[in-house]
Amino acid sequence: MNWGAIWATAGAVCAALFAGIGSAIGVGITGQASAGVVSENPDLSGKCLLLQLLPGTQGIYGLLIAVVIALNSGLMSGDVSALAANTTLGVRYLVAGLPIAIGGLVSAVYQGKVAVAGINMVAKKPTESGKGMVMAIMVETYAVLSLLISFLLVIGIK
Amino acid sequence: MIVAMKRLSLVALKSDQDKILKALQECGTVQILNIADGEVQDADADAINARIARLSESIGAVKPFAKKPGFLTPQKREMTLDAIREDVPKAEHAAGEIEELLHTQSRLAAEREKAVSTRDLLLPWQRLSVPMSSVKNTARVHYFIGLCASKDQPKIDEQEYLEAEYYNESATIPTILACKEEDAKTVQNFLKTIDWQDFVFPKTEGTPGQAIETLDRRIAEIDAEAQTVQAELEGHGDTITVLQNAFDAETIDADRLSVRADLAYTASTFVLEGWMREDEVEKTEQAIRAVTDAYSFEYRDPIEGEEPPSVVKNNKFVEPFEEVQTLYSRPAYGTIDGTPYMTPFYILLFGLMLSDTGYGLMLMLGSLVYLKFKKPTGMSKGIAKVLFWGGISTVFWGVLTGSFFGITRTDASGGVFTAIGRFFDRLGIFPAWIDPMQDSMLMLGLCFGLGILHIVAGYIVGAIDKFSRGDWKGAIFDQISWVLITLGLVIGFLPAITGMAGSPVSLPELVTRIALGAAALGALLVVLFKGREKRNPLKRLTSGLGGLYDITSVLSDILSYARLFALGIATGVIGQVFNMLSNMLTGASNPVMKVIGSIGCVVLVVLLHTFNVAINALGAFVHCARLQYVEFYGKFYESGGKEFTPLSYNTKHVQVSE
Repeated sequence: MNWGAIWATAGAVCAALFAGIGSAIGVGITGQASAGVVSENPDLSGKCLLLQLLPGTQGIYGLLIAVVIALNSGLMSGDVSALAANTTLGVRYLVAGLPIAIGGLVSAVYQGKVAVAGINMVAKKPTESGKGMVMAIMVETYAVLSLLISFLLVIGIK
Repeated sequence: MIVAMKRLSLVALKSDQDKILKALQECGTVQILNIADGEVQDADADAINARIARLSESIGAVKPFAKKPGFLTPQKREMTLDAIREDVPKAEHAAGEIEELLHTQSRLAAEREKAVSTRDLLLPWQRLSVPMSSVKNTARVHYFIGLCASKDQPKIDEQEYLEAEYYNESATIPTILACKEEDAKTVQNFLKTIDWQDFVFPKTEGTPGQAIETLDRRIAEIDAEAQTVQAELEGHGDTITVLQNAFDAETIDADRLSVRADLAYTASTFVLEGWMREDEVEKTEQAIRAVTDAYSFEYRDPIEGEEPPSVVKNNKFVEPFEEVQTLYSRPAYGTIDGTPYMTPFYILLFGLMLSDTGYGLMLMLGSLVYLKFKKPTGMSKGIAKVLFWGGISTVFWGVLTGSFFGITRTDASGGVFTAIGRFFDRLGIFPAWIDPMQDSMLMLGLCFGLGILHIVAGYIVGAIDKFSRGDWKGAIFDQISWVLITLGLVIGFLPAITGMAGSPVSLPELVTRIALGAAALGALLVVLFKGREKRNPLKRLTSGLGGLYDITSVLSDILSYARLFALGIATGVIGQVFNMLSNMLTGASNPVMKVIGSIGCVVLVVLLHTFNVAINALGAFVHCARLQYVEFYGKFYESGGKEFTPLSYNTKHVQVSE
């Protein structure tokens, strides 16, 4: 059994799966809030949509790390001999994927909550949507940092 | 630059009030302050606001039936004030009709709802073959009408003094009981012991079956009527333009009328107080002079305690970036406008976060088309221009880092994408400088370097501002000291830091020593003078040492620029993944399938890249704004300025032209 390849696959799966779950939750709750606001004032749908998109990026970051793991480890091309020879490599891919998996999951949920608050703000003061976006982006900072460290660790595995 | 404001006091004759207010509104330069004593009831203003509310409701009602504006039609149509005023009577008429139709609509809806609920009530009683009105108490017989739970039916049958009639076999059975008048009390008590619910027939003629038929006919009639109303409403769809014009014309009048309540009055004159920009004083007075010569126009500088609105003025290039600043906060009056300093950094950093030639071109073209055809005003106009400049910068960084719609020199997506990648490779100048996927440490270092530059620039802007206001202590101890610390530490430890990253930069020993010395000097300045207001030397020293702790926030500021690299990578790699996905469609060996797959590939490439550029441009816009607000403005900017809202043509649908 090629345990190295299994570990590396687990790494890619974790990155895409958990960050994706976080984004799904974040975008989901913001979508509900948007629908409420838009039902009162359809003109605000554009502003609400922008806020709804923000917690969606973590899922993209997770996908990105998953693809880089798959490319780098040979899972994409099917050449997994290096992983078979060295199980540690596979475990390293798994561990390197964890920052964006967990950081992405948690930050997307919280970013979603901030974006919901931002959408409620837009309902009361439509001109202030920019401030709501900046508040949400403050949370995203940590997803970006997670992405960065996952990326650097993954491409560092030779 | 923040524009100086003047406080205007205008006194003129009441008889000229309308003319003067009209002139000021057309001129659009004065924000009028409320100096009235007490609330004034204004019947005209109330009437016009009621008309506006009605127009707004009519617009909402006919909007679904109006022709959708084309994708490239301007946001606001250009019209003269007289032209939109002409539409007011027409719009009033239409709004009246629409209001009537809406009333009818809601009346019909209420009536239908009532008919349906009555019909539903009667449905279980269909088997009752006598008119409902005939079931009523006589001198000898007492009737009980109600719904009885089926489990209690045997109990009723057991009562000998009762005649029962059941009208169906459901869980709650419609039942009519008859008894002798003298037994009525007993029956009432008995009914309390079982699951019984009294029922009153609705006031309808005939048997339940006949009543249901009548109601069904009525519901059908209502539906037909509602359809004609709906059709008439749809016919009003074309009037939306007229309604919108009138809405704007009335809003303009309402704005002006509402100002009347802000003025102070004597027997024959009125007094108007307000703020205007120093550079528009001339224009304002001319506007008044054009309508009357009986007035007193005086203005002065703001005095202590007054808070004038904050307006910034910049050249054409910097102007759009004012919107980015306004998203954060206007500068407090009398402080410094950050826009001109922020603009170059915004453009530079925005491009670095996208860094793709293709996406840059898309942004440039997209914002140009938007500006040309939609003719946006206000904030959307500013942001479109910001995105245009961001697009140029994105192209610039895309060339430096060698990325075109996610295709790089070492592309492995296959098919035509790899072929383009090979072409870039042969070209040799794409990337022109650095391949972030290969030299990620160098790219990260570049991002931190730009960040340090940005932060230091923030400190220097603050220092210059404080010098110009005569606060040399603040400039040296709070701003320059930090420039010394930041630059000194970075240069001093550069060999060590780069050494850790694997490619040490060697600096002459003298340079690093001077740098560390400068950092030490800066730290000394902070320790000694941070608490310069405090008398007690011990408190002063602790305040100074505490100030030195800010070094951690400078460090976290610098690390925050790592997002430049991460977002740049995200855009590029996701673009590459999309290319790879699209290319998979072309893999078929059957020639027909290959053609179909290739078409699918092209469609997919366009869709996916549009998505990628949209979501990443949004990310770049907001992340870049954050770097300005937190990391840059944190060093010098004073927020909290009030918006300048002069009396002007504040329209929603029409751009008022001369």
